[in-house]
Amino acid sequence: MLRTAVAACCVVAVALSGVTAAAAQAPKKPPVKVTVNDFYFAPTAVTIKKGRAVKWVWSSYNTYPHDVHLKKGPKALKNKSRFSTTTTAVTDAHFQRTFEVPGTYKFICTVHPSEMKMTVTVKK
Amino acid sequence: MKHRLAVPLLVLGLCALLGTMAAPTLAGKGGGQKKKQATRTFEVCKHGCRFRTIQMAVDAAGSFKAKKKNAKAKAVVVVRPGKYVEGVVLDGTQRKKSFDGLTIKGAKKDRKKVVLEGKNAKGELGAAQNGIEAISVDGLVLENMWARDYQSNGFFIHAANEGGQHCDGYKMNNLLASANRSYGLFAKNCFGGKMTNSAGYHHGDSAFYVGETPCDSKAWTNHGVAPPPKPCQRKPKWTLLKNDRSYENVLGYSGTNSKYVKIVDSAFYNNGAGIVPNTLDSEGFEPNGWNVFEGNDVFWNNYNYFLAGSKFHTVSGGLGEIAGATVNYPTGVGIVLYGGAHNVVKKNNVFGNYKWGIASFSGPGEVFVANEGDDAKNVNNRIVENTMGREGADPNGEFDFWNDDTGGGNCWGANSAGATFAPGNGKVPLSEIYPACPQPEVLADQVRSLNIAAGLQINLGEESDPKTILGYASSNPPQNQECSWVRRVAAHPAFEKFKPVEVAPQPGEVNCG
Repeated sequence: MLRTAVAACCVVAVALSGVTAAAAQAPKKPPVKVTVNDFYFAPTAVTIKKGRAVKWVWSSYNTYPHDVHLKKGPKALKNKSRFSTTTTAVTDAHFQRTFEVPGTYKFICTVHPSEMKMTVTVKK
Repeated sequence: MKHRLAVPLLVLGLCALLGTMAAPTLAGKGGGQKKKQATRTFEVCKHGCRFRTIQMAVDAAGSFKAKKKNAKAKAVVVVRPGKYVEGVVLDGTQRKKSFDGLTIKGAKKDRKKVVLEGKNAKGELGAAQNGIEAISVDGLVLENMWARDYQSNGFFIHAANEGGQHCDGYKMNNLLASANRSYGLFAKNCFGGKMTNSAGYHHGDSAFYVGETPCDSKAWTNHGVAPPPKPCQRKPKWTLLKNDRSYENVLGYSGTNSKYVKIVDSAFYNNGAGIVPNTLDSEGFEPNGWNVFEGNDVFWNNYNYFLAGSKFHTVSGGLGEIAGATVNYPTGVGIVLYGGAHNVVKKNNVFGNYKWGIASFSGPGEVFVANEGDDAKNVNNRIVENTMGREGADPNGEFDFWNDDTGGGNCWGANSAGATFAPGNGKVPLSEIYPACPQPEVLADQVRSLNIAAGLQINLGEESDPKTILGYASSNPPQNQECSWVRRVAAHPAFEKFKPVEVAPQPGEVNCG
């Protein structure tokens, strides 16, 4: 009887510790994928919670060079240039950034600024 | 006496020596006291130099030039022979760096000694995209290098399309580009420049590309009748391509919406098509025009890159779609004028192209979705004094000249005797399809991009007719374009040191039915 009680206690303890560990190490949500295509981003609007990342992936069907450039971001955002690529790419490329500051981020491709625009909205 | 003479001589000698030493900073041109730019060299090599990568040297040069005191100094990155596995980026929009006027050059005249290698090269976004990419940098000089195997381009100079950024007056000299996915030497959205003494092969688009030539005003348009359109650039800044070689590419030269480009004394051979200025929606400032193509050798452009045995494959999405079929660039053609204005094609030597020597056509944007806004219209082009088919020794295939009879103000004159002209269905006289020079100029909005009367643009009811541009260019599968090629000689006669290169189809790959 005692052995059963101890064993049960252990099971509960192990289970509880598992819950605690899971809570502590809750896997981060994967980045939201945005494809960079010839003359458009897809999707053109993304809404995420702060702390989540967006990953831009260049389509393998592209013919033309494109970049990702933060045109306008929240006032509180420091080091805005981090959110822009310094090079263009046609294909086989990716660019990932984590958004810690809530607000609205307007992105363009500087090679095709009138066609390629998108918004990332970051909520608290 | 001896001593008395020696002292003034010593003084004179010292003065001369000081003068020589001062030469780098004090220019002696015409005896004037004009200051000469001091030069700072940034040397790159694998062992024993301050910089081991070109990017490190470029960054150092950019920081050096950004300092106010060095603003007028010249910065030169000298790259010693070796293979550099990297993708170099010059971002002219950075605040603490200035790359304007920078020279990056291989130390040796032999451009094959300095290799920028794209295989396994890493960049900010994964695989390195370009051998050298310069964004919004003026007066950049690139010389004596070879860029190969990059994900996008060999040498790429462009300006961001916002905030008044620009890339003026670049010089690319003695460069080699090969097996880059898209372009070899690539300039876009720049005011003037030079690509000289360079070569490129095995590109999925063109070895040489000048595109999106900007205008004085962002709002510039070639449309309008009253008032008529203004010039794109009031004082044009020209781009010169001279003594270049382009072979075994999808296109030898491509210029989407290019303007004020002069291509002279160059050779375009063994490509899918040789020289192809074009007008597409993909870039700003439509159309292409006001270009000069003079004194070039354009021959044997019969490389069927749609075949499996091709050493490279097209990255082009084509010119548009007609009834669900992709319209690709025509192959087997020497020079293509696609939807351009005021181009001059003069004194070229065009031969041995299996389809057409010089073809000209518009994009029928007014009916098909081939070009939104109906910008791709051939107007006021002059095709004069060209020598076709080596005067019978190595003829162009179907015809020397092919025109779709659209647009207006175009003319043909003083080309070699015996040149052949595609007649279409015979309902329109040749003199109307190929008017003699000179012709009165027209405005783009006064003429049409669609004309089916001559049976050259499209043959309604028989849309796949390869005698029409839309039938030929939309061949399905595309490698079947070669079904209508005409080989007029068993073998091309020798021409200088060149050799014809073609792709042999695998059994069943080309089905001419």
